Parts: sequence; C-alpha cells; structure tokens
Amino acid sequence: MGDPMLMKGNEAVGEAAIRAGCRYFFGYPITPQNEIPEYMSRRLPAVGGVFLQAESELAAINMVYGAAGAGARVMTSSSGPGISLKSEGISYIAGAELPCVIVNMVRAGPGLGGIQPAQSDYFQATKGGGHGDYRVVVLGPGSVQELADLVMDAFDIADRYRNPVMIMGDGILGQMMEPVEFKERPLSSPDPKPWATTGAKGRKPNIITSIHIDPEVLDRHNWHLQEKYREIVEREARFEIVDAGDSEIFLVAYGTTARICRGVVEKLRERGLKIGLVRPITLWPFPARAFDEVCRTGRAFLTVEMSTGQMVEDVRLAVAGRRPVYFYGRTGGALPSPKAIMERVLQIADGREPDPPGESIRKQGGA
Amino acid sequence: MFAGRRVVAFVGPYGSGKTEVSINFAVFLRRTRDNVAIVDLDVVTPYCRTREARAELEALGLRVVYPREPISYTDLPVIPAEARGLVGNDSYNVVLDVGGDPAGARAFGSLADCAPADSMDLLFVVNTRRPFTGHPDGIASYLRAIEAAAGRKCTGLVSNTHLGSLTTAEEVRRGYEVASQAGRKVGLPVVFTCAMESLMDDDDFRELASGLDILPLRLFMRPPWGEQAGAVGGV
Amino acid sequence: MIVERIFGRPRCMNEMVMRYCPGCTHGIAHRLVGEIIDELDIAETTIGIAPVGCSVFMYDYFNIDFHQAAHGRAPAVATGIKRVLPDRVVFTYQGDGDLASIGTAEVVHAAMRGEKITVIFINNAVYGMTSGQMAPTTLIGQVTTTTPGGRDPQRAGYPIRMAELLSTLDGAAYVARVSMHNPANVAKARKALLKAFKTQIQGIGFSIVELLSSCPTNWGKSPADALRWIEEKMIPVFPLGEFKSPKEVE
Repeated sequence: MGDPMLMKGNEAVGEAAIRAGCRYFFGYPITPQNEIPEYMSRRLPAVGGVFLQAESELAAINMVYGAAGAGARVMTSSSGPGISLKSEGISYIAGAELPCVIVNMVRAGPGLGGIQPAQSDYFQATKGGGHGDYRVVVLGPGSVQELADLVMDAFDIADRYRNPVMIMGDGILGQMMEPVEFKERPLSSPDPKPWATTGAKGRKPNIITSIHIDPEVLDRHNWHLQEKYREIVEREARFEIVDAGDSEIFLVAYGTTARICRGVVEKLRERGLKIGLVRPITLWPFPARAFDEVCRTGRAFLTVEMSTGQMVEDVRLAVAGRRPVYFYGRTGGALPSPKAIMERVLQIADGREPDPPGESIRKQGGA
Repeated sequence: MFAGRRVVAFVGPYGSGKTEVSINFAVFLRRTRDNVAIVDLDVVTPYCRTREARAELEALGLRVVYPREPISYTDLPVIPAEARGLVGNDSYNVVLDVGGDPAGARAFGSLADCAPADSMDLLFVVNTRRPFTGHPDGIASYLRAIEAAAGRKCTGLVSNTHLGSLTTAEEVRRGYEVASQAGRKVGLPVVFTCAMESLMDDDDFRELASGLDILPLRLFMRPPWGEQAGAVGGV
Repeated sequence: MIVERIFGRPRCMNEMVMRYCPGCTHGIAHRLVGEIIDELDIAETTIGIAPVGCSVFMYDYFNIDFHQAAHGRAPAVATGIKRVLPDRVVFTYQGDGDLASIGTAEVVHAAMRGEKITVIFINNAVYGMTSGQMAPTTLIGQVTTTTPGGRDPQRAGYPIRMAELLSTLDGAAYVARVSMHNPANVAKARKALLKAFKTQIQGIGFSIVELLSSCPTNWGKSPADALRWIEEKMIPVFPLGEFKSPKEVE
C-alpha cells in the first residue's frame, strides 16, 4: 500500500483502473465525469496504454467492444445521457459475453436534465437500458476509497464472468475529494484470453458475435446467459448493514445518499431511536438476502434515493410484503436533507405514514 | 500575515484548494478592509464553486461576484460581467478564485488587462498530496503551464497540503517543505501556508509551524452529510 | 497422372457454400479479400469486422478471426481492436446503409484519425438485407420500396459520394472507387484492395475501397442486366478511380 493521496472520485476511478491493468480507455466528454478522461489522457500514455477521445458515445462503446474482443482490459465512462447512447453497445457486449468496465457518474435527468448529482439511472443500469435479456453487474460505491476498490474489483468480476460491469457513482462522488489508498493486488486477468480475436494463429478462428439467427440457438444462448446471471446473483451480491442488532426501522440507501443516511442513523441513535441502515453495494445483483436478516428486528423500511423512487421497487420485492416499505427522494440535483429524512423516520416511529415525497416541492409551484 | 496586492488571484491544479483558500483569504482581508470582493472565475468545474457559499459570504460582508442564474447552474464557461469593472476599481480589494489547471487559468488572462501588473498577485496553490504535484519538479512544470495559460507570471506559492480528515501537523509541514523546494526551482517564495483551524490548538502543530505564515482555514464547501470527514472538492 | 491445380478457393476461405443471391457481387468481393489475405500471407494476423447487412455472416466463409459489429459501428470496433493489437491487420466490410447512413460518423472519424485499418465499402445503391429500401447512395429516380415513385431529391436528397468525401480528410491515405461489373474491372478492384491492405500494413494511414456492386434481387434485374446497370447508371454518378494513393505503395 502506498502513501494516501487526496483524490477526486473521478481521478480515483482512473488511477484504480490503471492499477487494475486497464490500458485502454475510450470516452467522450460529458459533465460531471470529465476528470476521468482527462486523468486517463495524462496517465495512460505514460504506462504504455491508449487514451482515445471518440467522436461520440456510440463510437466509444464500440471501441470498447473491439478492444474487449481483442482481449484487453478496457474502460469507458460517461453520465446518464451518454450512457443512454452507449446502451446499444452494452447490449452487444453483454450478448457477445465480453468483459469491460463502464462508469456512470449519474447526473439528473430525464433528457438533458441537469449536471448536478442524481441516482435516477438505477432502472437503466439494473433493468437493462439496452435491448434484450441481459444483465450488467452494477456496483454502487459510497466513498472515494470504496470507489477505487470497486473499480479494481470490477475488472476482476468482468473477466470472471465475461460480462460488462458498471460503476454507478453520482456527480458528488465523482467530484468529492477524499484520501485514498490503492491496495496492491495480483492481476487476475487471464492472459491470453483463449476466445479473443487476436489472429487465428495455431488455432481455429475465433468469432465474436451476438447474432444467433436460429431461434433454437438463440433461445439456448439466452438461457445460458441466465445461468451465468444466476451464478452472479449467488456469488457476487454485496451489502453493508449498519445495525446494533435491535433496529426497528431501517433506512435503505446507496452511494452518496447512504452517506447522508449514515449521519441520520448516528444522530437518531444518540437520541435513543432503534434505527439502522441497509446499504446495497451491488445494485445488480440486488442483495435481497440482506432484508431477510434485518426483517428479524426491523418493522419498517424507508428507502431514500436521489430519484422519484427506483431502487425502492427492488426493496419491496426483497421485503416481499413482510413489512411496510416507504420512500423519500429528491431529484434534479437536489439532495435529501438529513432533516427531511429524520422527520419521516420520526413519523414512522410514531406509527404514522411518513409525508410523501415531492408533495411540498410540487406545492411550491411554478412550472 | 501576507495580505498581498490589491488584486489577488489564486490559480493552481484542479482540486488544489483554490476555492477554500480564496474564500478564507477574502474573509481574512475583510477583517481590516471595507470593500472586499470575491470573484468566482471558475469556468471549468461545475461543482464546489464560490457561488455555492454566496449567502454565507455575503453575510460576512463580502461582495460575491458569480455568473447569474440560470448560467450559474450550468457548466457554461461564462465570466461575470462585473468582474472587469471590479478588477479595475481602485477602491476594492479583489480576490479572484480562478478555475483549475491551465484550462481554468485562461479565464484570468481575459481580465489581466484591467489592472496594472504591479497591483496584482498571481498565487499558485499547491497540495502535495494531489496527483502530479507530489514533487518539486511536478509542481514547477504545472506552475509554468498555468503561467502560460494565464499570460502572467506567478508571484508566489501557497502551500495547501492536506489529506482531509487524515491531515496531521507533520503533513502540513512536509507539504510546506516540498512547496518551498518547488519555489526555489522557479524563484518564488511560499507566501503563506494553509491549515485547518482545528489544528491551531494542537501543540505539535504550533511547534512544527513556528516561523510559517499560517492562514487558518474554515471550510465553506461542505459535504451534504454534514460531517467533517473528508472535504468535498474545492479543498 | 499429374494434375496441376490452377484454380481453387483462397486458402483462407473454407468450403462453405455462400448464401448470396444469384448475380450478387458479394461473392466476388469476398473472394478478392480472400485472395489478398493469401497473397500477403496474413491469415493468421488478420481480424475482420463483419457488418450488419447481407454479409452479416461473412465469417462463415473465412478461416480467420472475425468480430461482428452493430450496424454502422464497424470502424469503431476496428479502432478498438487495432489500438490493442497494432501489429495485426484489421478490416471492415460494410454496405452503403451501414457506412454511408447509420455509420457515417464512425467512418469519417476513423479516417480523420488516420486509423490504420482497411474499409471495404460495398455500394449497391439499396438496402439489401431489409429487402430493398432507399440507401443514401440510391440514384435519383431509382425505385426502391421506400421511394416507390423513384428517389426525388426534393424529398429524399441526393446520392452521397463517400470516396470523394473521405478523400478530403488528411488521415485517409488510400481512397479508391472500383467496380465489379466485368472481369477487367474486377482485376482493377483486386489491385485497389491490395494497395489498401498494403497502406495499412506499411502503417501509412486509413484506407478505403468503395466497390460498386450489384443487387439483382432488390433491383429486379437479371444478373447480366444488373451488371449493365452498374456500368450505365451507377458509374456516371459514382466515377471510378483512385482519389488518393500514397507514393510509398506501388
């Protein structure tokens, strides 16, 4: 382990990728993730790698597709609108079963939206985004250190399952500076990758494709993918539970929002409230079994997101009607305040329904 | 404590802490002067800019100049119109919070003609725990690139080494030493050193910092979870 | 008895029977690519990018590595591969809808960057795979399933000349348009493809060969009439020749 550095989340993404053996980066500028391509443009040539600013997000993800097919550890990064464009390529990469890492520093949507932080791309990341029956492993780090660690893990997971892995941050996580240490770890990239298109020398030709025009063959391929995804669900789900073993109310949040909720939990526990936090680290696979554990003492859940309510659907599926699941969220770059979260927790503790999100904001009117 | 010339511009790499240093320096000036303005010239980063602390700063008696809404919510590189007038106004002390890197320093170049060179300081803020500026050579080459983009020579360095919540007195001292070595390479002094105000009562710090000109920092850019562990970008 | 074999399939191609319509020139173009891979002895170091279009299963006919791309994105996929494996030979094979419509940005920017790849551009003035819609290279007045009254420039614009357009870019080192409508022109096409691959192998820059091709099925013409149509109708709109050729490549 080296000396700690003070890094923005975006810079830490770049450095962690390089230390994980990534030597190829293809990207296109979009706020708030520009420090990632800028960092890579500076560092990659120095380590014998390639940085390329593509003509569009479409081109960037297809360069990733090519480089991944050629056997390289490769990464791209963007934010919501750019990820929408990349979704075509992500579907192909998932269909062709190639490893790569995609970073989404989420900004507020829909459309051009705004450049401030949001978590409103959860559905896009975890439920598809592109077409077809495919899944992307989605990791939701909550600090710059965890971001760096998960970027390194992401390359290993991508190689292990030959599947795209997405890092879902947000504008704050990308811009926030914190001390970070890069852990020395063995490179686990299988090299050479026997399936890669590197020239058919001394072996049969390798074909990388996502087209299987025979319905029987494509059906088989899709069930093969599902089998792989089932294995990922079993082996890769990660979460953190903050609990003293007695919590009756659990906040559920990831990323920057989890950070806010952690503060709320600390404050309310000081006031004697039995409250805990479930923090999914993998957003897909969603760590459903965390809820089996906390349902032992928990009697209600409040999911907090920077969205109008996306992850809360997975929380409800995981809780499966055993307990009420409430939601609070802000959007558009506005953050859920500790005060607003606390108010709702206290309402739940009193046995009341918490105030619905959005209502007071809508009443402020205007548009 | 160093008070500088009438116009003091803070330049430096991304994330070296220009915004917090600018704000704290302006607050420091305001204690002894009536007309102090802080100009948000950050045209390169969309987060953690002076404009986000404007209400707090106005309450402290500072004039805060930043691009007006809705431009202020965007990443459009717009320089506020009042900036030129203030830089040329002899009755104001002006602090310029310039954006990071050579890219941000270009914005200073567009204001450099508003006041004579001998009434301006261009100070290079450096945190030796940041990428690319851990060593005197890296600092020197960064400084020259920023001078080229700004179209003016720097007049001093500001040592702002810290590691967020992990900052120790030794860390601050070590950063000052590295900044001084870089200063000798480029023929410039370290005009002051920044440290969190929480360190001021620390005995180790008082010993290690003796002889240094210290600007105690209070954080204005705060993370949304309200803890002090780790500052949000800008420091 | 000694029998000398004087004609056969290129070694880098296999025994698979091609699934193209009678009179379609994809078969000729595939064979030319195969011959050049043999001649340059690069079968073990070449990676092809298969397109979306009738030649989507192009890799079935070759004994070399292939990577299948999304519609229009072949030059971006080729860029990714070539940047990882700069000592390999990488080519794309794209139709007019792929290259000159949905993938215009990708091919223009690959050429702009001077990517050391070779693009084989099959221009048959129609969307073949999706059964005969207008292409960006469809001729004025040409009837397609989406220009039932013939292509009207007021409504559907004019045919796009990609070779000329790309030859304005400094990164494009070799740019040629050839035709496959008769044996003499097939021989010229072969020469152009050879130069294009050599331009890549010598590391000079981006190379593209546009091949005027037939689509008897969607044109509603016999194979012979289709070849005549290339000569009489297409060549006046898409003049043949080398638009750019580096002097290092003979």
